[in-house]
Amino acid sequence: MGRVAPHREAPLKVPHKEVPLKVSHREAPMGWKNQELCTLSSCHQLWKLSNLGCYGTHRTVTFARASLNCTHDFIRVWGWVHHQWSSEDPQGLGTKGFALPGKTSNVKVILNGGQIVTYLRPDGYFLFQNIPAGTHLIEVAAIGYFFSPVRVDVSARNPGKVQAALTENRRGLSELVLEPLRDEQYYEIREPFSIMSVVKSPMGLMVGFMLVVVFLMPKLVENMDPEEMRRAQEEMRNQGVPSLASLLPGGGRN
Amino acid sequence: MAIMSFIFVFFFFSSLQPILSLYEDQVGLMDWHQQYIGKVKQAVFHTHKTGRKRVVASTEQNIIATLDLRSGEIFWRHVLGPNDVVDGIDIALGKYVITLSSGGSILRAWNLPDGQMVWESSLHGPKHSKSLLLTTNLIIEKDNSLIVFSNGRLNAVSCIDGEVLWKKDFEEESLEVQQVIQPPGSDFIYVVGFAASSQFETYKINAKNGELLKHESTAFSGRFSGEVSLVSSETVAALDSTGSILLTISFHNGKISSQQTPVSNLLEDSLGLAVIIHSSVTGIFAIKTDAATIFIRVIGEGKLEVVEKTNHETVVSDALTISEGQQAFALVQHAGSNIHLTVKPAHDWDSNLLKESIKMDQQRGFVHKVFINNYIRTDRSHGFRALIVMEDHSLLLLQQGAIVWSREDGLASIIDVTTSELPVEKAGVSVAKVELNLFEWLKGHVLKLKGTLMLATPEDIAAIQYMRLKSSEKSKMTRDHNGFRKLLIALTRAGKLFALHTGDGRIVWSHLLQSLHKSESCRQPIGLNLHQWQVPHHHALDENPSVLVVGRCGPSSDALGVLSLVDSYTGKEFSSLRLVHSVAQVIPLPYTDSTEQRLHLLIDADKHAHLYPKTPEAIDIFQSEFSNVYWYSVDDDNGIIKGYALKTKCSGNVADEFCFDSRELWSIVLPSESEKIITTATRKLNEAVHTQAKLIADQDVMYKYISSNLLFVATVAPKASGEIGSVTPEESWLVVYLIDTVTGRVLHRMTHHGSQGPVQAVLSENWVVYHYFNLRAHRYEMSVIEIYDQSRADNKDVWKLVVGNHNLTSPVSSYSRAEVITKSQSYFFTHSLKAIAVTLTVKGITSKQLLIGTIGDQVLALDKRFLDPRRSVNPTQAEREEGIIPLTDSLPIIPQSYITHSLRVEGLQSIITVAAKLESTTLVFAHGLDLFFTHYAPSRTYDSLTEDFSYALLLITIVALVAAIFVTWILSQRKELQDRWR
Repeated sequence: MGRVAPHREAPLKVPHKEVPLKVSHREAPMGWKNQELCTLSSCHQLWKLSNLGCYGTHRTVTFARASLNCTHDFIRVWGWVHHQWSSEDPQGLGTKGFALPGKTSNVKVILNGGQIVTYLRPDGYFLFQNIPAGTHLIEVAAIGYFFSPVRVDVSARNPGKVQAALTENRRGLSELVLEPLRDEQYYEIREPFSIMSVVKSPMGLMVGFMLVVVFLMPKLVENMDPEEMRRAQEEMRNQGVPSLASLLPGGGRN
Repeated sequence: MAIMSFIFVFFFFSSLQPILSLYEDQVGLMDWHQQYIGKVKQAVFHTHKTGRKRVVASTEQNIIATLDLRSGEIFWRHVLGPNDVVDGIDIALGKYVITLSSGGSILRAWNLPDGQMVWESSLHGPKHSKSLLLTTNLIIEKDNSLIVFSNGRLNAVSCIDGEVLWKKDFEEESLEVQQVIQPPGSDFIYVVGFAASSQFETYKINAKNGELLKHESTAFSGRFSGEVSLVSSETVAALDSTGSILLTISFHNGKISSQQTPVSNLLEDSLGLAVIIHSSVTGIFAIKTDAATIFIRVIGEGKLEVVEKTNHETVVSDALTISEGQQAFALVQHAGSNIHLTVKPAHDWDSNLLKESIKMDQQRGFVHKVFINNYIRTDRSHGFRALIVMEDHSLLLLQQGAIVWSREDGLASIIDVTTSELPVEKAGVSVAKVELNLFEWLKGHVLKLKGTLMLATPEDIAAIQYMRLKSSEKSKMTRDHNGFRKLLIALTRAGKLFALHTGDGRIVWSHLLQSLHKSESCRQPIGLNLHQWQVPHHHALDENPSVLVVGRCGPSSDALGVLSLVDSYTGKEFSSLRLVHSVAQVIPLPYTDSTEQRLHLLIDADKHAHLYPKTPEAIDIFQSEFSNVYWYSVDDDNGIIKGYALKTKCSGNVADEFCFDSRELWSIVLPSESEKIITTATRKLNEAVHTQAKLIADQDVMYKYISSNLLFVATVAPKASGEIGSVTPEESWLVVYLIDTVTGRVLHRMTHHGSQGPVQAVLSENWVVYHYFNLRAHRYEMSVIEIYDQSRADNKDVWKLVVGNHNLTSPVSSYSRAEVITKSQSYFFTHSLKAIAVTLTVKGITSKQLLIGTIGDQVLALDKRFLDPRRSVNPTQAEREEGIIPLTDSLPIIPQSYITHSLRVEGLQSIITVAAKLESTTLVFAHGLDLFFTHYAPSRTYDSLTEDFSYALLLITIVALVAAIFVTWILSQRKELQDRWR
């Protein structure tokens, strides 16, 4: 597992009294504990810059709103794609029940329809850099899963303010943890052989009807009055219903 | 009873209806998928450890991939974003692939075996500069470190976690850093570069902490040009901007001493425009001019000596350290149809470690790049393998004088695709590789039967699957009854034409086009598009079909054009033309001459029209249709759409009777301060429409407005033409137009407030579907516009029809100024789009489906009925019967209707649909970096039996039925006889 601490060397280290930042009570594993922050007033001229981040392990992710970084001209958006395959998870008891097939290496996170494409780290973490203030769209492309695009609003006027919401169901996200809405099954499942499915099909019904005719009709005929039956046979003969034998070559020879 | 059971079985199997989507075991039956990586920019071998040997490559298509060195197969591959250009790759710690990308601002490490990203680090700096990546075995704070120079800052980055250990800025405005050097075994780094183009600067930096140890600079009277070549770890060679003086600069221990050698001392003729080839071979550097490549050796203190001057295309590899203190490098030279691979030790030009001659396919062109790697043979001598990148972007591995494998990576950059029919099967000519005999056919079907009856053993199932996938039926080289077998002809960016068989995707032929070959008169040839030149049917069947390749000699639209005619069966280029005019537009006309050559009109940048082929017959045909030719041009930059017609023969040119002047008929000028054209769409020329009338629920008829001159134009506010999120909904809008391109009449105009691009649109029959971004809802939307002809709507009166007082037979003309009405509706759609297309069938009877290339590089089929403006929340009973789906706010995504199923067409660019001869089926070809082909039946295969259908079962049933009939006949006769006796 790697760490990323790109701004360990940043010059300003101001207590974040004006920035509402919550860091998870657990140890932040990704090296983010060294993140430098500065107050809004200390770099007011860089009002457009803001960070949106979340800190913590992938189980307990706390959203940190507004971490302002004075040294660079960027806004970063980072978050996590939730999954179960993490090797970091010692309990292995993913509560969500989504296990992406294959690996995280095949999952892409896409900003604004392809402007920036990024990949996931083994723990599902992703990061976008150089994001201007405004409203953005994050999409996750993972074969086998359906992810809702996420709307992320990075406020220009109020650098601390960042909001995220799923566009599919308009559900707001308190933390940028992306979870698949459902899994996608690309293939039809071959129905296992079952008698019921055969019987229920139209052909099955036809065959069933014919079986009824073949097996039940003689029974019905047996129960008929012999007089009536003879009359019926007489009628049929008069109408000249050909027997099977008379239809076949040589069958009619008599 | 026997009959009953057979009927039972027969009905049971015939009741298995074909369904729209695939079963998992049907993958590969009708579809194929090929993966490519594009033109390799840099390659690094990983062969140290036991286990699988691989090569890591970065390409011009921003891909990082690892390939199996034995077979060339892709282990893993990542496609970086369009702006994330790879600057350098390397392998660190023997287990991480390090990539530097985005102009040196993103450094990533990927796990070598599986491609998982391990860490990502961002490097920023004070200014833009060259990006250099250097892996070292330096250990700083217990971490192995990388040295990265990018954006004017030198960084030492930990290999383990990507942490920046130290950094040093080089902020001088004019400083251009050329090289970062770490002399082997030392713990300092040299940063060398030019300041103000005439000052040579060296910085000696402590590698442990980034401290500046020494800074020296010397001024040079001339100016430096371009690159420097590293001659040793403390000497570089450079060339001045006039190309007349060679400089060798050594900075041993920080002291700069330079030596100037006039080129005339070494060579008789001057170099002209020369560049130093970037290489890292100790003691030798190379200069490349237009005509020759010159290798120069540095002897002692700045003394130079020409060792070889080659006039052939010569490519040099980087130096490879083969043993302690010994370096080798490879040279590749062309000689006729062979290439010579030579590996030389760096210290001794005259001896060769390896010299091989390999026969090379002429269609691959010149060698562009070579990368070498060594291995220890069993007799402890050094063996070499070379990876070469050819002009057609293909990648080959050479080892022991043979091509071990080759990859056709040119197919990762397809510009245009067209199709061609295969030859007709002639009696007595066997064209299939394996003709099945009757016994094998029967055996196959018996196996299949066993499979359906679930009696098959696992081996049988494997055999069935193999048989289905490798059916010789689908890869025959002849035309088939259903029109499934065709040639896909693809033009790639390298100027190579490929013919792929639709059955299995194999390359039937490939041809490097002469017309798109770099030459004196045509320095930057680019391919533009492909057209079907000759499609013989009826009376010209003996001729082979051919395609027209249009290109131009340069990126600007007024560069001269080039044409090639290529035989589609053999790939022979039978004609290649250099035009005297530019090519702005190519219009295939709906007329053919007696040999079925299609007439084409090429419009140049000055709006002259040139007719091809240049035959008297063509001009005769064209004269008669002279007044019916109209075309339009869209000027995106100025927002002007113009319509043209032909006027007279060209006035200026003498005796060019194939050139015509044009006149402007109409123009639509869009206000540039509020509208910017971003997308246009037209109908496909070959689209068939089955009926103009559309019956709607209450026995009413609506007439589709079907005109082949319909143009869809989408414009956005200039502010909103950027990325999503760059504008507020208030200042952005999307305006769509439907324009008749003959009269310039705007048939429909609609504004979507608060929406922006990018817009993807498809126009078919009388409707257009387009996809855009709705900023207010912050979701993607798809809208449909259907356009109906109102002037025909009053033909409902039966009496009118009987009396003949109707206008149904009057031709559809752009000049008739029909009353049109439009209907429109919008829906939300989840994904971003990369491409959109519509299914195409031969007669247009089958209902249409949209093929949507999503951002995840999948192709989704969406029924057009979901995009019907007549959908309402509560459709009436009659409407429901008509098939109108109740209105929902968003379009459904059904995973089973992804026609690419679980595959990705990485870097999807476009989806091409071709009609098969079978009305129900359309052939779909999606290309990007990958290629994907499948058959698709939008309304199921209603006109043919499915592939699943068991002929053996049918035969057995018939035989059994006949037998049963005879048995019962005998029984019945016997019974009758007994009755008579009684």
